[in-house]
Amino acid sequence: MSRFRRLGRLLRHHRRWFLAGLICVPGAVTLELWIPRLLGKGIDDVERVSRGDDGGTIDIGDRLFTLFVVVVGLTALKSAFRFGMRYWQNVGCRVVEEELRHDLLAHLESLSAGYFDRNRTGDLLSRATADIEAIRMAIGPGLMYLVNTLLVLPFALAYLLSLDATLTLALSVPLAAIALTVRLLGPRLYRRSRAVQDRAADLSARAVDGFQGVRVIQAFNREQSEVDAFGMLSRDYAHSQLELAKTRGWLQVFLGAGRRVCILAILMIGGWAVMRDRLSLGDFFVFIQYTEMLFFPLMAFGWVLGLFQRGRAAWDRLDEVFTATPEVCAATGEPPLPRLSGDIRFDGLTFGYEPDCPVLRDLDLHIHAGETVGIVGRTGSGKSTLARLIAHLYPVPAGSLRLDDLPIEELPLAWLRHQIGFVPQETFLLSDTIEANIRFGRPDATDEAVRWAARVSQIDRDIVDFKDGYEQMIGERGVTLSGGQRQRTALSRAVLMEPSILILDDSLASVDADTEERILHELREVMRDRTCLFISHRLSALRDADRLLVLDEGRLVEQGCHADLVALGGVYARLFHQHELEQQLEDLP
Amino acid sequence: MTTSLEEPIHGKAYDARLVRRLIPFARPYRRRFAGSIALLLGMFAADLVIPYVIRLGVDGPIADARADGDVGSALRELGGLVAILGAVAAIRLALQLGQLLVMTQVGQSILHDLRLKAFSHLQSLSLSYFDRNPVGRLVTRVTNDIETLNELFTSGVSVVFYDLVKIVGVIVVLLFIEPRLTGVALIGLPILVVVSFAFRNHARHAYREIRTRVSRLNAFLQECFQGMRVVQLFNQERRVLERFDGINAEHRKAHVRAHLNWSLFFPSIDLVSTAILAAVVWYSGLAIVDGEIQFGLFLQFWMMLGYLFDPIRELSEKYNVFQSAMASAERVFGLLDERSEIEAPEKPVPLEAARGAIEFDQVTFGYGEGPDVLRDVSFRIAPGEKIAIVGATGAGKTTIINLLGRYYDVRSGHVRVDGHDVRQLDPRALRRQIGLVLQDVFLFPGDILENIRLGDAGISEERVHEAARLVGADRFIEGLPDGYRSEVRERGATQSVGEKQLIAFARVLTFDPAILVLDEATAHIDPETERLLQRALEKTLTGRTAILIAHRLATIRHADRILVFHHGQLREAGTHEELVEQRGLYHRLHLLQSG
Ligand SMILES: Nc1ncnc2c1ncn2[C@@H]1O[C@H](COP(=O)(O)OP(=O)(O)OP(=O)(O)O)[C@@H](O)[C@H]1O
Ligand SMILES: Nc1ncnc2c1ncn2[C@@H]1O[C@H](COP(=O)(O)OP(=O)(O)OP(=O)(O)O)[C@@H](O)[C@H]1O
Ligand SMILES: [Mg+2]
Ligand SMILES: [Mg+2]
Repeated sequence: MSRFRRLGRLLRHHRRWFLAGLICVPGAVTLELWIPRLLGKGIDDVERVSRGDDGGTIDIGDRLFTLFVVVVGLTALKSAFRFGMRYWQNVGCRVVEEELRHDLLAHLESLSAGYFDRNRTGDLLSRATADIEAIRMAIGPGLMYLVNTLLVLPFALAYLLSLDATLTLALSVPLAAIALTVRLLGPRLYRRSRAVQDRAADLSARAVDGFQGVRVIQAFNREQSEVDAFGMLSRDYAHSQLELAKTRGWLQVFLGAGRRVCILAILMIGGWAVMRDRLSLGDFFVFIQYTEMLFFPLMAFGWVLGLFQRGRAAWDRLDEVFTATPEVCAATGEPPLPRLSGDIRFDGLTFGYEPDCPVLRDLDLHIHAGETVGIVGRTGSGKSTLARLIAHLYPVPAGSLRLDDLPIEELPLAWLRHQIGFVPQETFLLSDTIEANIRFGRPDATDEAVRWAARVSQIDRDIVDFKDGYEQMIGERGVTLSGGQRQRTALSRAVLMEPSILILDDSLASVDADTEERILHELREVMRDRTCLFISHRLSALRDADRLLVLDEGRLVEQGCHADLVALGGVYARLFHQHELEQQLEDLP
Repeated sequence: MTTSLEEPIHGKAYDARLVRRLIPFARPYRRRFAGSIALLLGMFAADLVIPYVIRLGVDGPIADARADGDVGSALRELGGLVAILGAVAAIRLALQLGQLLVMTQVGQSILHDLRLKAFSHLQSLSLSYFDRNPVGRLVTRVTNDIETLNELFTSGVSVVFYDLVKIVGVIVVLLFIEPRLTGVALIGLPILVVVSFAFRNHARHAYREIRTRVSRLNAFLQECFQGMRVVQLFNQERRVLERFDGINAEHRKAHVRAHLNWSLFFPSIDLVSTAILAAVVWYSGLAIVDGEIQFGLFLQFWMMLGYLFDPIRELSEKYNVFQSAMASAERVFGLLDERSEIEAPEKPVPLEAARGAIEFDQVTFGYGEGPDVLRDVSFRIAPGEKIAIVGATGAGKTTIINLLGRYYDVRSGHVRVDGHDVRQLDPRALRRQIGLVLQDVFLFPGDILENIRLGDAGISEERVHEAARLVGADRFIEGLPDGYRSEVRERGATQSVGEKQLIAFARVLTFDPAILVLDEATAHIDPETERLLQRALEKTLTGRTAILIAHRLATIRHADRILVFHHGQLREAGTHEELVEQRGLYHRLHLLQSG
């Protein structure tokens, strides 16, 4: 039950809506129970008058008119209560829904990069929408009908008991049977609801892939196989819905059967009581009214049960997200320093994304504040991994990575990242204006600063050609920009942070030599007094580096300046000769 | 995020047209629809019987026993009636179960058809559509929006029919039972109808707004989840959350507005119907006193009135469902109406095995409404020739490729493959001839093997292994615990970028195209691995036309000819030596890179 604590807290927090709704319930229920009795009384009067039992003391026309006015008046009151009950209840659960979704996003934001490597967008999306919707249905209409039923049931039964005990006892048998069925079908409803939600998530995840990968799909004519795969999941989903509907159908049938049995019992036993004058016709009428009235909530009960089980399944899926903890543990609270100087030290760091396959091994490395290091190495040698660790995107073994001689775990994440300008190897831009993208890390930056950052990456030359200049909207992920424009926008975004540590992960790969030259020239200014990690496959881009590091299969195999490394005749020399060879080949007549 | 490209909230309502368009989806299941309606009619008949039997019981044995005191025989008679009632009730339940199952199945089948149709339609749309629409919005269309149509098909269509039958049927029966009493009830009926429909205008607007809000919410979240790493790197968690709060609140408000409508609706209906019932009690009370009708008849009448109010309430309730469904249908059909900007010609020129001759003839092009990106570009590529395209970023290199595969259409001029304008060819046939390595690598969730052969079972595993070996991807793939069966996460989150490029390279080689197009295909690959690749390419490229785009000039040294683009124009063309000689743009790039 502790699983539901978060939900409980939310409900308590917004209790005023629910309380307002709940306060209306007894009023509505009382009137609901009362009105049939008034009608029953009226019928008894009619009977007495028509049999002549009243001795002519009743003015039946007058009585019936009063009855009409009273019933309509009370119903109006009841309608007002019902309105309040529905409306406040609904507002309450929309508010809870909103906050739950807020909490979900807030929690996801606290989770580490590894979580997003593992979980699919479509699946998370379906948790944030369909599952939260299911929870809302359970706490909203679900709860309301439950309270309603729980109130109506005892009062109605008590009154009926006072009218005719035998009949009421007889009625309680089918009612109990219904309660039992509902209980028995519960687990199955839960299982099938869960299946529906899981299938829905698969489906939406697949849809996300199909739309994101549409360029590749069309280029390789794979539309049909993509549609087939989607179709299969869609069919699975439809099937799971059908299975759920079957269970619900049986539930409805059981409830319906119970209802008919009750009517039969009233006719038989109630009829017998009426024959023996133990029950008046008016009360007979009340019996029929009350059982009908009991049945509506009981039918709803079946529905509510479905809602609850679905809500529980959805809650479990949501809870899986809420119970995920950030893998990166960092200190919170006051930063130990006003600002990082940019001194980075790896002490025998071994790191792997999976526990047993290290990507970086025994890394001992000291990067001095203000130094510019170039990192080279073969594809998959761990360069990007090294860069990510400095931004503390993944957890590192305690004490193996120090910034300004402080273990990275002791630095508050937000403070740390605020001082790092990171240009990831794969650019992610938002569908927003180009200016908003550059400003992303520093919304408060001045326009001059933004212009300056745009100039550093040379994107300003492209921006003047855009129809809306800095206000140009770029599509999702920046699809309406060229590859190089995207990369340079990301570079501006990082430079604008005025970071202590600037990390460029192969960030000029989609840029031509001419533009690269200009950017490097501008960057020279920027990199002064900052630590800079420069990952690249183009050795020519690394000529400003104070030191070059060579990674191979996760180990730091060589380091030093260009000339030393060439003289060493190792991995770097091989890379360089490759490079040189290419140049020479090019220059061959 | 996603402030761009917002969709408008209001569109014009066109119900009749929407309904007409929904019909074809229901048509394959018309038998089952008919069956379900038959079942509903059966249920209706059973419903009519029940109050009648009760009336018989009350006015027959019960009244008799009260009159003559013979409880024994009255009870026997009553028992008989109860038995009939039990049998009828059992039949009704069976019919109900059957109806429910049939309709759920029909509903789910139709939704499946619709989903598939929407998805495959989207797959056929041109890239310009995807430039404009965020993925989250499209996902909403094929999931949430279609789901909203569920109720329309499962309960909507047949229930509406059933309800209409029920209303007419009940009124006829009521008239038959007791015309004057029916008159009393019918006076109130118009009020009921008016009240029900007073709510409808409100509903449509509210639902349309809801659908739009849902779509925005999804699009925002989707972008947010995918960009989480960047959000975290730049410390923007708080601000993103704040922006989300705005969207989330709008979403809630839209729903609350719709709730207001609902919350007023049911109680109002309740009030009107209770007033009618009370009037009936009043009138029939007088009639009973006058000895005109009996109590059992009143009871039957009372229960039958319930059958009248239920469908009226249900109809207006369904009307709401319809409004909601129509708001969704509008969006789904809006999607299906979206014509691909790339139309396949009626009679495409067949293109079985292309020779690989390519010609750009005075091509001018720009994206959407935007400025020209390519201006008056003309060049020819002979079959088997290897061409390199170089130029500053944003010069229009990728755009050339987009036009060659006809992902966009030119503004003026012609793009020809083997002498045929690409607009005369079937785009699929054209694209089959072109092997493309895109500038942005995209991997699908699944495993490496399927990512290389893209689910094409016609490509053997050996072929995949060979392609991987050729590009030098075998080294890292075989180092993985599961080799070619290793899992690939969304967008290849667990591969290094260079590894992803190698996989994409292997992919294009397994498909063995006549024209090979490499857009910065080795930008993230180290020089040593690239050298391996180059050797492999030399072999595979013989006899094929190839277009290589690269910023690293070393990558393109095998090219027969080099085209230099600048600001959307072809500025220089020739061999490496010729271009160096010319001392123009290329020369400058060359000098910069040789350091
Ligand atoms: N889908 C699109 N919608 C609108 N504009 C686009 C789109 N794709 C590219 N552009 C614009 O067209 C121009 C040319 O882009 P293109 O992608 O062809 O450049 P490129 O030469 O490939 O550059 P790079 O070397 O950076 O990849 C750029 O200014 C870009 O902003
Ligand atoms: N998120 C991840 N989860 C699991 N494994 C990963 C992840 N990211 C990278 N790897 C693996 O770790 C190794 C090193 O990857 P990394 O991205 O650091 O290489 P790299 O040196 O940057 O290569 P490239 O030059 O191709 O960018 C690779 O074998 C890769 O498959
Ligand atoms: Mg990398
Ligand atoms: Mg490009």
